[in-house]
Amino acid sequence: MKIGLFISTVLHAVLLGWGLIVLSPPKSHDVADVEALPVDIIPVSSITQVQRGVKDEPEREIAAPTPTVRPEPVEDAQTIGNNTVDLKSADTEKRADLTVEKAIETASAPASEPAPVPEPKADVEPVEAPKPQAATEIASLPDKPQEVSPRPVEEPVEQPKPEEAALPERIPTPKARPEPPKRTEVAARQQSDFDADKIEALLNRQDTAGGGAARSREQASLGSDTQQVAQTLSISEIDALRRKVESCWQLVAGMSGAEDVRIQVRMNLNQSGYIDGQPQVDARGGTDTARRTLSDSVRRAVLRCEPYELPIEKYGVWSNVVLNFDPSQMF
Amino acid sequence: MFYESLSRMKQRAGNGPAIVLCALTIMLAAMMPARALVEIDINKGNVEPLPIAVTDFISNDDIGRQISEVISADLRRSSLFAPIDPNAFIQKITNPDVAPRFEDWRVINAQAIVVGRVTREADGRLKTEFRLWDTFAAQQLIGQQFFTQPENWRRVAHIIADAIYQRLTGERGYFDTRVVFVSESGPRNDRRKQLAIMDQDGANLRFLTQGDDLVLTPRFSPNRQEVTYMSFANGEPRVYLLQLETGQRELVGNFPGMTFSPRFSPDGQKVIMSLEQGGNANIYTMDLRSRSTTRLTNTTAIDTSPSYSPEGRQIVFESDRGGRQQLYVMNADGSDQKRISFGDGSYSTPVWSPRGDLIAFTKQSGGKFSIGVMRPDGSGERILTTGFHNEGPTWAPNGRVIMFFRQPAGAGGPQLYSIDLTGYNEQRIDTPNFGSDPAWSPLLE
Repeated sequence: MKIGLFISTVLHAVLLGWGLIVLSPPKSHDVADVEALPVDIIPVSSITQVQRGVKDEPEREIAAPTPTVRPEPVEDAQTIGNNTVDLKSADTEKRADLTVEKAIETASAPASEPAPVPEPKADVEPVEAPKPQAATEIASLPDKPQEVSPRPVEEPVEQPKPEEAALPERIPTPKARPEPPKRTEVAARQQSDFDADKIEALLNRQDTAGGGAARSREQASLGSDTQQVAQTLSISEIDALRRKVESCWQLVAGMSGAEDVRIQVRMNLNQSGYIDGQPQVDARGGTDTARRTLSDSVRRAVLRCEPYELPIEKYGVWSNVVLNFDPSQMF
Repeated sequence: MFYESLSRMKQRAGNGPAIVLCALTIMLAAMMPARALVEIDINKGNVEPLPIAVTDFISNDDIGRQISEVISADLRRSSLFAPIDPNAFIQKITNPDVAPRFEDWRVINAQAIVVGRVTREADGRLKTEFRLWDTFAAQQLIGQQFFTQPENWRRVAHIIADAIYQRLTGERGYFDTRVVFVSESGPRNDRRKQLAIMDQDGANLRFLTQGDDLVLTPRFSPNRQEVTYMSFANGEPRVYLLQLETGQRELVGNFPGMTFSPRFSPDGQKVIMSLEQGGNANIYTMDLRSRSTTRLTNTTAIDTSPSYSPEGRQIVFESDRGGRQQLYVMNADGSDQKRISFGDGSYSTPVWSPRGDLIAFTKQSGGKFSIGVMRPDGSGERILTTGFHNEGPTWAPNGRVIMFFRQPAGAGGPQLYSIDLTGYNEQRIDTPNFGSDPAWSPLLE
């Protein structure tokens, strides 16, 4: 028994030892060099948008307003105000001012819209493009005007200076801020008018409370759309934008010297989808002519594509857009 | 031992808050949305013709409208522009010095607008001014003026069209050019062949020879108003030079055999041609100043139709040394000859593009004649048009358009056609008689 055990142990040991020495470690599992497959994860944020606040609360259009803070009481006024009644406090005057200012703001807001901008034709004089000066002579031989090649030494006429060329910028703009509409004054007057509360204030010698913004009467929303919309445009939105710009970009097929040109356009969009100011166009590579021609075509393309219709709730994402134009595959 | 490690851990814990703070900062930075920015790559565009508005030039007579029409026709024929129907114009231009109302032109989708004015100077000359505006960028792209004799108004229109073409496409124009060709009249078995010249749009045609002798293969000098061609004036085909301005004609060299398929070198100083001797033909050059000749090939085959590359370093020609006509390229001194065409059928009449990137040729295969292009190394062969008989390609000076002649099956005679390098926009050029062997001039100066 002991001998058997011994032989068995020895044999096992030998077998294991042999195995350890002779048998090579198994080949590692070859993994083919697979190129990573790009996977686009389409944000379904609009569908799975999580509610903010209490989950079972009905959604409201307006998000919860920021709670106002009760202002500190103001010291007693020592002087008589403009009012016919001495209120002993500057409170009401302040409130009236505040209202007026607000009214001006709301009234003047539309003035910044393009509508009231005067017609460019109003002042024709500054629009006059500079008269070309240098002349070009095309002479032909008197005998055989057809045979002889007339040499129209094409001398380019003086190009207009940049500032003069930028005609639309010279549109006269109103210098003065537009007068607020009459109704504001009425509102302001109404505010400063005598009212019963003031009598009460006279009778009641208690200190008045300080002024301040009125509290919001909006009921605080306990459930609303979260403002945290996915901070990126979806694949389909990007694709739509790309296709739109592609359709606006017109260029000449087979143009020589354009393969190496790369153009980057940076533009700031306003909420209506229009470009704020001028798009910034940078071109690199290729010949001068190709760069200039392609820059022009790209500028035309982005201006022609206005307005860019993108989801307004993602405005923060698309307020700045960079477009990289690569015409190399077009030639 | 245990306590030691514990105290070390404690020491490390002293740095703990800093490390945690760092980690938190990094995490927060990663979580914060980057500055809102959308970045998109655009690598496709729209190759439709560019809509352009060519308004009638302001003038006291009809000439302003005529100039506009010629410009419009030039641009339309190039197939890269789509001039908008004037009936669609909203704004009527009355003063070309004032910027147009761009919004009116954007509405009709005009990407550019051409305005101008034609006036007569006191000395009778015509003053033509024009401006090209970019309607979307709202800025002027070109503003030029020209003076000329009234009879040259068509040239002014072509020059303006060239300027517009170049500014908007980035390539040189080709409208202010002429075409010399062989005008054929009379019955088929007794054709009268005259050398003729016309503007590239077919206008201003005139004849350079009387038609008494057979003429073939006219070619323009690259820098002079001069044409070289082959004529049977004295019973034997010989190469001649013709001064377009004076009408003076001279024989190129006095060789024992016949000379044919002449062409100028890019500097205009030499004529390269084939010289026949004992049933073979080899390629020679002749210096036009010194009249010295140089032999470039030496074979027992027929080497012909030589054409220089634009920089003058290489020559493409056809040869049947391999049994069938094929294209070969060699250095300008005749060294390093190698075959470049390997397709089915035979290749002939090679012409190097003024851009240098392509060689146009006639290909005969399966009983049909095609016009095609290939790269100078023989790769990228592309057939532009195929038919019963197409032959004799010639390049527009900007290397984008090819003109050739087409002979229909049966009755009728050859006609001139042009086709874009892309293989689209095939157009017939109207000539009063039949026409063959066109040769495009360089841009006039």
